[in-house]
Amino acid sequence: MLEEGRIGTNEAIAATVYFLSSKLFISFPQQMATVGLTAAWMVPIISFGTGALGFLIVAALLKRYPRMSIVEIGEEVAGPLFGALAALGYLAFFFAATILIMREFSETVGTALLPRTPLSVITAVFVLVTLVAVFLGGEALTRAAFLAAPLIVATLVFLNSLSLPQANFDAMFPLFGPGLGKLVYHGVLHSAVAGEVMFLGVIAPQLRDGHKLRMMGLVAIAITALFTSVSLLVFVTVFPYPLCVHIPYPGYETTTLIYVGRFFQRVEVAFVFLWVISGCIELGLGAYTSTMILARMLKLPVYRPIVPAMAIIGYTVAFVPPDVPTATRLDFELVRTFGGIAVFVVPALLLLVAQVKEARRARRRGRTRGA
Amino acid sequence: MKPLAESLQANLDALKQTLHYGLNSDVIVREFDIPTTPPTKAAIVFMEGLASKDIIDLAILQPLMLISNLDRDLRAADVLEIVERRLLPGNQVSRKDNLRGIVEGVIAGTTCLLIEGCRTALEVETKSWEHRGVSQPTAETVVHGPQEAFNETLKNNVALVRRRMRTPDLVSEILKVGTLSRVDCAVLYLEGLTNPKLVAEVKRRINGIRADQIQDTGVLEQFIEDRPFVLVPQTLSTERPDRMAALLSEGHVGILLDGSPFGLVVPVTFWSLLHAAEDHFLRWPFGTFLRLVRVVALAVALLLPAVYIAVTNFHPEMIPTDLLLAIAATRERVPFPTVIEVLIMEVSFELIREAGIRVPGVIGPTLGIVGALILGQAAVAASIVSPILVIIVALTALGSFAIPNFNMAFAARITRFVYILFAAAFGFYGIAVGVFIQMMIYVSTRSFGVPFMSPIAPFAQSSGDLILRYPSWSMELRPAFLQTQHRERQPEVGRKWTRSGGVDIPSPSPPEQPRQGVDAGSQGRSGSLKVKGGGRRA
Repeated sequence: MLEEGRIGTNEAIAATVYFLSSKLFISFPQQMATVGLTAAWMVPIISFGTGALGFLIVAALLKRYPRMSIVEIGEEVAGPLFGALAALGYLAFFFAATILIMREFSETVGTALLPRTPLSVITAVFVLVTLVAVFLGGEALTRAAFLAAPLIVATLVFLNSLSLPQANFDAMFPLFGPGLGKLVYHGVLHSAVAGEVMFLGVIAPQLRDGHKLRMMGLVAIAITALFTSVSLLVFVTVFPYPLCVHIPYPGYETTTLIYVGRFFQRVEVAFVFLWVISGCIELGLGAYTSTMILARMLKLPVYRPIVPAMAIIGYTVAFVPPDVPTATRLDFELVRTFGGIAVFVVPALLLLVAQVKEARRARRRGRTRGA
Repeated sequence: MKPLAESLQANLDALKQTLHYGLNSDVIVREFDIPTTPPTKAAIVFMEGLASKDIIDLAILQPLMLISNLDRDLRAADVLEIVERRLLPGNQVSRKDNLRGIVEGVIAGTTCLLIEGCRTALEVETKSWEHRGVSQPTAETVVHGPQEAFNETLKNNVALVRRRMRTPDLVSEILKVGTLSRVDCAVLYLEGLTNPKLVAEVKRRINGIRADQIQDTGVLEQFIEDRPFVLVPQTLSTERPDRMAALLSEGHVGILLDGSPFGLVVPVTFWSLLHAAEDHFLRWPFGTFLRLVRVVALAVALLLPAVYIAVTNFHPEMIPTDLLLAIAATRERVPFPTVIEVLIMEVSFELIREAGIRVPGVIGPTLGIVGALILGQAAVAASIVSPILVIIVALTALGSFAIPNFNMAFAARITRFVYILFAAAFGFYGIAVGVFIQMMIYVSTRSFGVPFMSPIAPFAQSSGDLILRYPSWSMELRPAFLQTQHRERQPEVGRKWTRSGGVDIPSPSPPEQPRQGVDAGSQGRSGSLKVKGGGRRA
């Protein structure tokens, strides 16, 4: 059985928060503004709310099979073939999301920090860092996430509070943007923005306090929803709706407007520094989760031998989208739209099958006893 | 293990052969007669320079040679018994019945007494050699606190620790290390407090060392650490007995090696490498301030040159215009790119530092002048480096000197060059990637099974002794990661006097009358001062 370190409650929550929220630093706000208009900040609340409901199903499934990951549960409940198909679905979600986020992070670094460095070099560095992180393991990654947690909190708090002087709160109105119905529709449709919470289902056997898994997921989703929503509120008030949808990285653009006296007026580089660390953690977690899913699916005793192969595939696939707008569109319209099926609907089906199977077993037991 | 024979001559021959008597000028074999009737042949064997001549003369030879009232008809075993119990006034006498035990004792400084007809020898404690006295610490100096440091004698070092921990539970187990050197290594811990698994692991690792000689704890450290290829130290090296005693009381294990003036404490965490003994000897706000200064120092020592390169090469927009123009003006005549400039200065500084340690003491002060002149003034005047870089390198040096642990400072010095290269290649992106990799390495490192970044990652309840130093009376718990047998270090109310009522101290002067409009109660008791401690947990 693949056993890889022990992960504590705090570390698991911190890692999940990083996993869920790092996309805030790339094109996610722009996508939210595109569908939510002036009410962009409400969409993540609905999406994360839906995601939380989906996670409750995942947690209920995991509770039935303690010390098993979502991959093994799939095989246990639906048999090897359908279990493997389910695992492939999770793998596709995590792998695609990680690669597209890596591409977007690379583009952000290229735009903001290294305009003359080839994108392939920036991405190669990200791949190498991710490789190191995955080699060092999930235990180290989650601990690094917890250690760096104050970093992301401080970044968001500073970014949001220092941007406030530029905010125009009239831009919040009309309050419900395209209308409540559309908001709910887009929020539910893109519930896969909370899909990374399934990470907990993959590392479930490694959790020190497995019985707190549901709490971990819900706390992580709540924290992320709060941060995301507040940050989006700041973005749409700093860059009113029509402008916001044309800015690829609103988070970065907001930092360029920060002015704290004559000395601190070009601080965006410092923020990008922190984002890169967040990005590295996010990519490490994404790659680690993908690798673990594959290793569990193939019943490998160790996962490290497949890491270099995954890295090469990831690096290659990252350049499939011809440009960053395509990558962004693929992320939002494909991964975040249909990803929900893989990470929330499939576990719901598995839970249903598990319940039916158990009911049948109970009936059979009753019949045997009666005979 | 060859047993001793009854014949004295046979035993002496075997010993002489093993100790290369004749070739080895410091092996002394003194044969004599115990004046019984008829005389009993005996001999002592010892190493000159390791054994005390005074003890040998006065406490071994004198009583044995001058006392003549032994009955010759006694059996050999009885002679041995009488000699041991009545005639050897030495404070430590033990029996040895094999050649190897005797040889080990003799080369460690004891004196071996062999008697004709006895299959057992007596080993008298006579260890005494020239050694340095207890002196002031050189690597861990403090302004406030004890000024004693370990020296090269193991027993002295153990005594220095024991003097600070007068509890019978302080155990010092002696193990032998090195197949050739066979040096004594003391493992110190508190029985009933320290995690027995940790003690067993320390002993397992030390017993598992296969090396011909271990001369210093610096070598020992390399044999027992978890990850030899990680730059950061995984044991805490200290020359201060007070620091070792404090860490033992937390549940750590101490390791002392004969011949080494530095002790090791395990396990170690990242935070303890930023601590100094003085932190606890000062009041808590001062201790906390010093620790924050050290955190800044570590950041400066690691990152400052790299940040300078990143800012000047990749992100000049970060610098306010006036400062940017000033920097540009100073760099105008410098022909090298910034990274070369930084490397020249850093390498020169490392040269000065290394030369400063190796140079004979008399020339030492001149080195500072040469370094300051060449690196500071002349390099700037010759337009090899810019003045601002001299400031950067000086600040970086100060930062690395402010790191209290020598090994940690070393790790920072080397890692700094990696950051310089990362920054030269990718600017802030490279630095951020470097910070992430370093963080990952740190969180995956362990020291004797304890995660290096404990108790933050993984998180465990701690007593406020990491970056901030809480008041001494509020540190009630021992570190959770040590898994000690007792978590509580002191009761919740450490200043019990604050709960037992105040003490009335008579005022020397007549009390002031309360002014009108001011509540008389707020002035305290009339004519006396109520001494009370504040704070719920005080």
